[in-house]
Formats: sequence, structure tokens, C-alpha cells
Amino acid sequence: MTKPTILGAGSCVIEILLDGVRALSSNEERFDFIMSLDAPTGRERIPDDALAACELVIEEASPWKRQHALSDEERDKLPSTCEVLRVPTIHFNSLWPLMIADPRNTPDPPDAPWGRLPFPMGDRLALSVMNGSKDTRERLSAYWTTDLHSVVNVGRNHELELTDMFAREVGCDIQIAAYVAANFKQRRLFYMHHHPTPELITFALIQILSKQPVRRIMNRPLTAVITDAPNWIAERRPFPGADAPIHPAVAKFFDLSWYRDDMTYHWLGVDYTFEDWIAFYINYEPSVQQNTAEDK
Amino acid sequence: MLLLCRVGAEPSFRLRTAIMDREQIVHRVGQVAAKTFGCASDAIREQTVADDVPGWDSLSHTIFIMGIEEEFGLEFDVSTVFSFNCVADLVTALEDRAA
Repeated sequence: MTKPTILGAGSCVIEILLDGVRALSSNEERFDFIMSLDAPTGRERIPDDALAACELVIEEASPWKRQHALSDEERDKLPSTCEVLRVPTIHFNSLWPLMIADPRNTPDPPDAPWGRLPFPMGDRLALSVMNGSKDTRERLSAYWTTDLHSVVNVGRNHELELTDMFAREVGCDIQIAAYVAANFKQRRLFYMHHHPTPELITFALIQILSKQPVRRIMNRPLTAVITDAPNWIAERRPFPGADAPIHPAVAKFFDLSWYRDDMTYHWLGVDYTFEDWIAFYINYEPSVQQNTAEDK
Repeated sequence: MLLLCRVGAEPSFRLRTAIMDREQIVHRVGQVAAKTFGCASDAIREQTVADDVPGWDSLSHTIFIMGIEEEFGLEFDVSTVFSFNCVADLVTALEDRAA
């Protein structure tokens, strides 16, 4: 007989949250935990029998996907008793106002669905100065002599980002926007715009674990589960090696208390300062080296 | 969220005299979109939604809105920025601000 299923649908953050529910519930024998992960080529298909046996869905309520990760066809196959927990897309662009998808990094599935360059995301100012000169020293000089605030209105970007973040969680079961807005200057909550740190993942996971539909599938007391959640996240080490460098002028603008000038960022096995990173990025020639980004 | 899905009928055109103004606005919106998303500027029409334009995602969206604000020399009320459903709604907001 098919076991009842607990489904996750959406981004890698949802995958971590589902993994947390699985690990902390102590009920892996009773349920099949199935994740349908987003990819540039589309989300992984969920088998019909898994949908029909579903007791709980944890889905990303991305407004970019019409508020639901599951398609209408998939939703129609869920039993009427199935509970759905909606988690807003967790991302925060304020600390990376220059970040944009690198136009040179085209997806190359199945081996490199996020592209083959060693940086899934690019820097708008760097791309601009790279178009202006072929000389790497000129490029770097142009980058560092350009006032960031002449390129982007960091404050306005933050205002729009916060507004969007609050709007995204309307109708969701999990809320993180107020926590991010109140704490991002004092504590590091994101490694990258869509990669939350353990602290923020723990904050979201505890909310999920506390919801009645999740508590029903738990085989342990809620207090024990909540106590164990931070340690589980710490051991899980979400998003290793995908740490986006923060421009010093952005850190200064927000007066980030956790920021240091010599701060290093781990990316695909290398620790970069922001200066090192930009030099690497600006000097990188795609034709010379074609690495696969291991984690977007 | 802005510009996610087609809703309702085609955008309603107002007075004949206003059509040119809207066309000009759409053209300028298209130029900002081309700069932001790398698409052809004439690919942006009133009916266009984010799903129609490769590269128009949550990351580039804010850049696009700020580009529009810079192009037209205004700032949207943040409470309305994320209520647009298609380019036509954005154009109407720009038209209203210009009135």
C-alpha cells in the first residue's frame, strides 16, 4: 500500500524546509517526503499516486508563479483532506542592488541548468564597464571610481524591495518580512538575495513546525522539535559556497553592524573579498574557462 | 505583484487623442525594458506580462521599475507599484501621473 505523502514544491528553500520537517518529525517511516524542485527547465513532475496520497503540501507561494507552485492539474489530484501550507518566496535584493542575471550565462541543461559560468549572477556596473573597455586595469579603475549611488538608488531599491516582500506574504501561512526588515542590519539573514542564512531558515522552519497541519504529522512533542530545529539547520549547512559579495558602499549605506571591510565570501570553493571578487569577475573570460556553477 | 498574468479584456483605449500619448509611453517603457531585460523594445505591448519576457523575474523587476521611474522622472506610490497586472496598468499609472 502506498504511504501517505508530504510534498514540497518550489525553490531550494522549500526543499530545506521540507527536509527539516522530515528530519525533525521522526516520522519518516510513516510518510514519503517528496520534493518537486524548481529548475530553469521547469519543476520536477510529481507522480499522480503521490498527489493522490498527499496529506500535506508545503508550497512556495511565488507571485511569479501565480501564487501557487502546484499547477491547477496537480491541485485537482490532491485529496480533499490534504492541507496546504503556503510559504512566500524568500528573497531580499536590498543588499545586492547591482545584481542581475549574467547575460553570458545561458542555461545548458541537463548538466548545467543554471549555466556554465562560475557566477550565476552578475554585477550591472561591472558588466557596463566591461562593455566600455577591454583593458582589465581600465575596467577595474572605472568600477571603483564610479559612485554606486550614481548607478542605483539604494534607498529606493530597498523601499521597493521591502514593499514587495510584505506583498509576497499576503495569504501565506509563514511570514518573514517584518523579521527581515527589523533585523537585517544587525544580523546577517541572507548569503545571497535568494539564499537565507541558517538564522532566517530556522525562523521560517519553526513557524512551519508550529502549524497545526505539521504538528499532526509529528511523532515528537513540539517543544522538543523547536529546540532541535536550530541545531538541525546548523548541521544541515544550507547553501555552502554560494555567498554573494556585498559592495562596500551598500554596507555603508545600511550601516550593517555585522559587516567588516575585510569580510570574505565563499563561492565555489574560493574565499573572496569584495575587491577580489570584482577583479575576478571583471577579468573572467568565458572562452578560457567553462566551470559549472554547483549551486545557484 | 506586478505584471504577472493577463486579467480581463484587452486594455481599454480612451479618447482618440490619448492614443498617441499611450503609444509614446509604451514605446518608452519598451526602451527601458530592452535595457533591463535585453529584449526588443517593440516586444513590449500593453498586453505584455512578465511571463512573456525572458529575464523578467523577481530580481530584474525592481531594476525595471526603478528604470521606469528614472525615465519618466517620478516615483510611484509604493502601495500601487505591485498592483499592476500588465504593461497597460503601468502605462495608465504613468498617464495619470502625467495628467
